[in-house]
Amino acid sequence: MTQLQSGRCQLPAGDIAGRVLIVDLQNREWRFETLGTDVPARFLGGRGVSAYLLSHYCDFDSREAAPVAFAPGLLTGVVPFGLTCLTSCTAPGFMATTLLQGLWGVELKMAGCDHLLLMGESLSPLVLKICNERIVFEEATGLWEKGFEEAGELIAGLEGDRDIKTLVTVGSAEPPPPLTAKSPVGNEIFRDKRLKAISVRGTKGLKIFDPPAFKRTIKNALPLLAGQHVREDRFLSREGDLPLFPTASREGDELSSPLPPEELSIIQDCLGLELELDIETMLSLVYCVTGAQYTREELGRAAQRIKLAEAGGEWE
Amino acid sequence: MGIAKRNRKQLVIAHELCNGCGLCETICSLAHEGYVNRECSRIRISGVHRPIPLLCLQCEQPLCMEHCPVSAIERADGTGLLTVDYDRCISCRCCVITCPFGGTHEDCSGRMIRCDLCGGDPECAAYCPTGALAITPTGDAAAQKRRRFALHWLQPEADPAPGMPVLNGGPSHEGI
Repeated sequence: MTQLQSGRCQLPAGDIAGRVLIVDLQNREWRFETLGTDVPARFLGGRGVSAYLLSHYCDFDSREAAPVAFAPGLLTGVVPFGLTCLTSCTAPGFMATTLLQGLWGVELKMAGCDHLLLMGESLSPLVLKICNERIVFEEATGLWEKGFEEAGELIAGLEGDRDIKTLVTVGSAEPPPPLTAKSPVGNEIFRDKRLKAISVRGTKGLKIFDPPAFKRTIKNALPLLAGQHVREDRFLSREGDLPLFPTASREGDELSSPLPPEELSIIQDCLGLELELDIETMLSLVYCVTGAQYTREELGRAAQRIKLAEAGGEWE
Repeated sequence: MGIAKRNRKQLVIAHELCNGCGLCETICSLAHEGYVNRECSRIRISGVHRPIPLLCLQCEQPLCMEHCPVSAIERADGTGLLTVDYDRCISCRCCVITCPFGGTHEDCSGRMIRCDLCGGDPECAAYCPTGALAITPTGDAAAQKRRRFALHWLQPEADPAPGMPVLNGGPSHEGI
């Protein structure tokens, strides 16, 4: 496994944190890029790397392109109930992050994409299909007005694969699903981009840096996991209703921790954690999965850096 | 049923306790393949609206073994567990087609995989946070289920499991 170093932080480069799929919707072009060695280490993953991508690849002060970054957390896919961050420039100089539950982000990682960056706007209704290294743009004219359930079923049926995970926008005449009522920003962005759905299928695996230590840490965290509730959305036949909710309303922000609640929330988003875990377990899991050895202070500094990037400031 | 068969181990699923965390899939693929990939997990969580773990149930009269054209599925001496001889397996998928429970499936490399109970001490059960998966001798599995059901009947309010069947003839939740 390739290692990178930044201070005391080590993360595998281009392995589980640094591979970005950049899609230009207007020109229907795509490319993979691997982030520089220090980026995943300084911005952790998930929400942090999304903030870096939007400020680095896009004209931050322009609303015109309205880029969107999808970023499964550093631990999403290996720790139960993983989250995926959806970050966009909703207004000049301002980034908004919302969280997606379900297995869509896990599938994206399994397809070999640690992050997905959508640029531009499609000229006609579009479905973006990602299957491992294969990227396909398909016209969605017939799907555009379909409800999210029907559209999700149609896409899965056309692909002939029930394990496909699809993120679908609601139809224009369709009331938003209950979870989107709090923050329907995701649907609006997709509509602006004329993007009906993103379907993903991935069959690659995720490496664990230290499997025995990972299993020990998980074993210790089992009592916490036992109290977690079933998320019904995960078991819908499609992962399609853009279930977004504001970061600030998430449970777990009140955890007792030496980190301020806002910074802790950022760290949880970066790691993709939906669980209520203590900071020591978080640090241990990050090490076991990625090999990165952070301290609480380093996590706090990373959170500050991410906050600055999201606010359009310069980071060191 | 003979003593030897009664003492065979079986993974008993209390699906009403499953919270769908997927840790069984993570641990299973890690144990068998060395990396995390749900496709390569011998146990799969399925279901709509409710999670249901599914795996090879180690049938006494396994249709997969009966229909395997190259006799690649065998019952291991001692443990009595169904095993696959990959030197013989031709990936014809007859086992996938004949299994009524979806206990055998194809991994991402095209290999037919099934739960081997980790040789008798399944890791998924050891890491299941809610106790939805438990390894038990086959002879004891039904007794455990009966006891749980009887407790629920006597004290339905004390049983936290939402998925237990009800006694008034109403529909039970999803079952295998």
